[in-house]
Amino acid sequence: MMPARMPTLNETNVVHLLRRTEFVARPDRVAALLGAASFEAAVDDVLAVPANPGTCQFTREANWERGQELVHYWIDRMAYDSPRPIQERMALFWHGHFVSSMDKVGKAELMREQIDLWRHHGLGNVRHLAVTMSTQVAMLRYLDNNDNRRTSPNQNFGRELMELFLLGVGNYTEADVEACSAAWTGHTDDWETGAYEWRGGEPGRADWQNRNSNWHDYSRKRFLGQTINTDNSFEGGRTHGAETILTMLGNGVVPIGPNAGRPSREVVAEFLSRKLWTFFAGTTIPSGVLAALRDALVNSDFAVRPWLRALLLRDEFYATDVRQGLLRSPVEYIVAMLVTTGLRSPDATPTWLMDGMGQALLYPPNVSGWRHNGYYVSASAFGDRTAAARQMMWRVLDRYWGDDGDGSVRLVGGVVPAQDLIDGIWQMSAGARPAAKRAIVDQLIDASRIDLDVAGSNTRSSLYAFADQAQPWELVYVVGLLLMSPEMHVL
Amino acid sequence: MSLPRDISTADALRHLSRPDVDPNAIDRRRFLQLIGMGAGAGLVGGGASSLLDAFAPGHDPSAWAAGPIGAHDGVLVVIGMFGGNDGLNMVAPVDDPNYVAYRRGVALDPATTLPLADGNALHPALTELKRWWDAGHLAVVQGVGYPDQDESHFNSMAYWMAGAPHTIPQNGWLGRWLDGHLAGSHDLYAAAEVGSSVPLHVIGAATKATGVSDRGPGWGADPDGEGRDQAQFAALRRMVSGARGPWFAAAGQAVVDSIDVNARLGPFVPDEDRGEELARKLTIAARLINANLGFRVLTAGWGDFDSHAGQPGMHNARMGELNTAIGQFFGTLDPAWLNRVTIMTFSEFGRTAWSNDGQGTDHGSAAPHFVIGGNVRGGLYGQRPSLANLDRWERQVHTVDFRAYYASILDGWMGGGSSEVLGGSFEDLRLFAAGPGDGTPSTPLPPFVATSAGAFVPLTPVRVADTRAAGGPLGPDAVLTVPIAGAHGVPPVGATAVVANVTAVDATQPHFFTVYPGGTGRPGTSSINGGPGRPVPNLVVVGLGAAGTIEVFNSHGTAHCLVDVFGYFTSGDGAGFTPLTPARLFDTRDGAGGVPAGKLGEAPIDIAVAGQAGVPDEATAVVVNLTAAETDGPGFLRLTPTGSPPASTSNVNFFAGDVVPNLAIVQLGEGGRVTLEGAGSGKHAIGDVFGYFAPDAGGRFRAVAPQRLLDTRESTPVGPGAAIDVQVTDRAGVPGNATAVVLNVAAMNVTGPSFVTVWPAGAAQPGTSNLNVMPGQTIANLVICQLGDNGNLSIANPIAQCDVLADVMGFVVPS
Repeated sequence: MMPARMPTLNETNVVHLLRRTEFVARPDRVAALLGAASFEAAVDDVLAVPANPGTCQFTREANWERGQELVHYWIDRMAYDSPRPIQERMALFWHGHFVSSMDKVGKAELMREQIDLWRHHGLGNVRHLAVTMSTQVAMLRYLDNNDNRRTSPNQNFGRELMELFLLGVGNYTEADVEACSAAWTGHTDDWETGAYEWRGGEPGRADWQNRNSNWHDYSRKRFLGQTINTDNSFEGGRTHGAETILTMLGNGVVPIGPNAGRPSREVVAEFLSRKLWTFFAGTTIPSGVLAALRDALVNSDFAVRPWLRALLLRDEFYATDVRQGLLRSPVEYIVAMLVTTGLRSPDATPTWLMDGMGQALLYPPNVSGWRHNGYYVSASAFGDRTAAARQMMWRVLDRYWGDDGDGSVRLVGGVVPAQDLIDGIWQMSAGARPAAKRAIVDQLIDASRIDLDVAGSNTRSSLYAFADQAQPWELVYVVGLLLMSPEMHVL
Repeated sequence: MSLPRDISTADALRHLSRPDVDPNAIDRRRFLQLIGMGAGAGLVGGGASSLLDAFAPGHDPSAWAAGPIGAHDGVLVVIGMFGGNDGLNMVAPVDDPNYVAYRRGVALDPATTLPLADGNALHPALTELKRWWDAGHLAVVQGVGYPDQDESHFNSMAYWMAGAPHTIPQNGWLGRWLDGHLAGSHDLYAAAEVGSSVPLHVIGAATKATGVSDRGPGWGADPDGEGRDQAQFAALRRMVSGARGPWFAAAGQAVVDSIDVNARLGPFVPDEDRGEELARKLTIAARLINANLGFRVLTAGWGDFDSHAGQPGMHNARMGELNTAIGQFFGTLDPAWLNRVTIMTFSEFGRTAWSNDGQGTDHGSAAPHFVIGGNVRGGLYGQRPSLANLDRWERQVHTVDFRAYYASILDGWMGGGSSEVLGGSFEDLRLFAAGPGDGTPSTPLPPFVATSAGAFVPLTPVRVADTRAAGGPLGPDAVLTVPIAGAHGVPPVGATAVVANVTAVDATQPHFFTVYPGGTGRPGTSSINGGPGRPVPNLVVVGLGAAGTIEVFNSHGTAHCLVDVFGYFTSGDGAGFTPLTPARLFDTRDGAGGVPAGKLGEAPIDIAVAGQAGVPDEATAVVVNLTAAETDGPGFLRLTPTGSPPASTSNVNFFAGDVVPNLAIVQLGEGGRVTLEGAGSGKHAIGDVFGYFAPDAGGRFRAVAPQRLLDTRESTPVGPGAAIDVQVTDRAGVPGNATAVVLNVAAMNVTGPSFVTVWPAGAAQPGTSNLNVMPGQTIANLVICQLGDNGNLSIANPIAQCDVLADVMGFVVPS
């Protein structure tokens, strides 16, 4: 196999790298990465995330409001507050992968605990993430693993752990599902306090007769060709569930299907690599890349950072089809609009529209999480995008029209003052107006920092045509039209 | 011959619709040609990297020549139940002993279910569907599934939506039908999902359904008619011409589509809140059909049905939502469409036959589904999967392949083409009595329409029906029709509702009576909850049907029925109702109200009512809750107007040791008094007054079709420290200006001997009781109560815990 070619350190590639890892290509970051010693150094800069990205402090009492606080905190981290937004973007990846939903979990504190796992350790190790999330109360509740007992196993978690989280469908038997579910029996939570509880019991002791404390199945099981649950002590029972993850990422063997006989860790690594590529690239993963990412993940013993680094250093990631391969998801679209308008999330994010757009943080649609691209494209979903864009525009124009506003339009890249917008044009002769109106469109585009000057875009000319026939007071609507432009919807 | 790909809808429809000569045959031949093209159009590339990413970028705006559809084109409404609906509790096999045995904590009480046929019964909330069944237009397709059931939500839903098990789907079964119907063009008004994202089953190889928001009209509609935003729309249209990759184009086009769809459909998407999610969505679907824009397929879905734990409350709520939505859909649909519209349901799987320890069920396999419509041939289809013969994973074995289910819809209703759409030949279950547009639209009995506001005319109590004297007991599912208007002192015209005490006697098993207006659809409520060993009376206030009758339905076993009439409401002159804060009128235990203290014997006593406990002198009748207590033996209490001839009626029946209440509405006799008689040995009698009737005062009563207002089994029981406030106005047909409500209140799941009190919210909790309850009993009593703050009632049981059900029978509005 030919060694992979390193991407060239140029503005096109750096802008693409930053859009996909930091939501938008901020000018200071573009400049910084262009000044890096090599492309590898640029990627390492992107991945130099802070050790402690903080946590959302709740100030409200009501659970719903706390959930909203968490959503705004996180979106602001993505848009403004993180020095290396890849940390938050990777957390978004895991949120859509190891899925829990507030709908079922019921407590904002528990969702925060899980989101914080993705935020703090999302670039750590898959094994650590999988083992830790499995007994977080959010996951125990979401997939009913809190009611999984020896005498009445609930397979919801055991099945999804293999099908959607690690192995992929078709790589295990029903017997493996039963073994996995049995291994996870005994973990539960207290509904009132949200505290984790182990109710494994211990065979032979008095409490083994107690229906409320003898939930764990201590028997040995065959799982992916291995014998698991060999330590049948009280403390050992508690680790049996994790043993299924260690086996899948370790010496398990796929029992059936096209991958029969292959080490399960390779199949896990391929399953996750496909998903990572889709998330960052949007296209079908080239087979050479799949093999390389699989090997990177297996060879690093499931460390995330080297795996993601390998992806970001692939030349294929910078090809035209990948650069044009991804639609911004609703969260990514909101983040881009916040950056463009300079508004903070609690002031401007219309969270009530995000479900309709197809992606409400803390509320994934189902256990398989969000999908990409066409999943978000429909007239009604985009109706909610335009509604969100108009909400943002009205917030910007509050400062323009509002009682305490100064009559100017402020966007991330500058201020367009009122005298230019209206007064100046009124005072002009009719002949001078068209050019002046187009100049204002240019000013607004510059202030938005949306790059319209790429071949193939008709956005600027469309805005000129709008300005040509617009009344002077209507020129500010260019802000909304910019937020709705095709440029804003692609990543 | 094949048609060009960019044929307009109108042209396609001209080819598809030839109602003058055997429309179905022509449709089918044309359809097959079109199908071939749709499939040959190939998949759209570019970024489709996961299961539901299939996307058709752009469309030809010239192909938007929407509607109207042909007179013999069927419209299909598809309801998705996401998460795996528990079919065993939607259509329960109540005659199978394993049903209750396997489903501890989850099984429906068979006594509450709505019987269909062959031992199958609907979930008690599905009263609308029962009406369609009774009318002969609900098909229940049993055991629908597919071989080698996949237990993943995602996979199984994908297989169902694709119409192909065990393949990675690229498109959906209705999407492929749409490909053929549209000949590859991208008509936005041929199929729509009402909701936020377009699901796989309506995504074809070359086209897909439009998403219609269910949350109000969006930007693009032009409510002020001034076209102010047209220049902005024009700018967004121009931007689409840019070319920077597939998602750039797709996003630009989607923005424009959203504007166009909003402009076109905004008028049909109500801005106001239309209730629960599915009801809201189906209301929009019905409006879109009424508008005849070209829609042949409308889909909507909701959830969650994944009831691994805590199933009863969750699934009951879903069934209630389904029922409300179906009712609202047909209430909105123009009746002219009844023989052109069919509803079908689907879900990714049923649930396990056995319940788990968390009052839940796990992912199952086959399940029943509904097909509803004016031309549907009602009945049971397929074979009910056995509970005794489960597969090795203890799941039910399917008997109808979902492709046969789909084929029956496609061939019976959508013009054919099932073998092309489904890639094989599948049995047509013959679900339809007639093709689209054929036959006379036929629907279930109409629901009762609220009466006009009526004034009360009290009567001397009279027994108007006694099956012991004539007719014999009522058997299971039997209905007794009782003529009211034109007899017993009730005038032949003008009477709108009757006040009657209905008593169940000699019941052979636990059962209930439902009393409802004659000739109307039977509501899913109950009036009297009885059982063997004792007579159980309850007061009813019920509207009269068109023929001036009421009907009494018996649910189980056999029972005799007695009906005693105490008065009626009329659109003519009469007395108005004034509610009172509940107060004690008399009590033989302490002599309150001027009655002799001490147990009542056989001798009648007169009780002064006018001028007492807030009842004015001019009152002509009073609403009093009469309770028998500390009873020494069996007997009954009877209230009559003082001075009237002896009556053969009764108000409260009891045995030794009972505490039994019943509401009474009794005319005031001489001196504004009533006479209380007691048959049998000693007992105490207590009367609590809730309001009175007087000429030229108070409000007028309107009877409504009985509707359930409250069911705490779906929330939290009432108990000590857990009084609840119930919003009454603006719900269940009660208007905002109602001053009092007439409810039938039932209590069950009682943890200890105790009582239930109902009073106006905001007022101090009175020392009165409406129901006296004992563990193991289900007891009902009529409640007429003034509405308190914000139109709310308060309900409490200060001593023990119980579940409370309340059904609205009518309300009082100011005259």
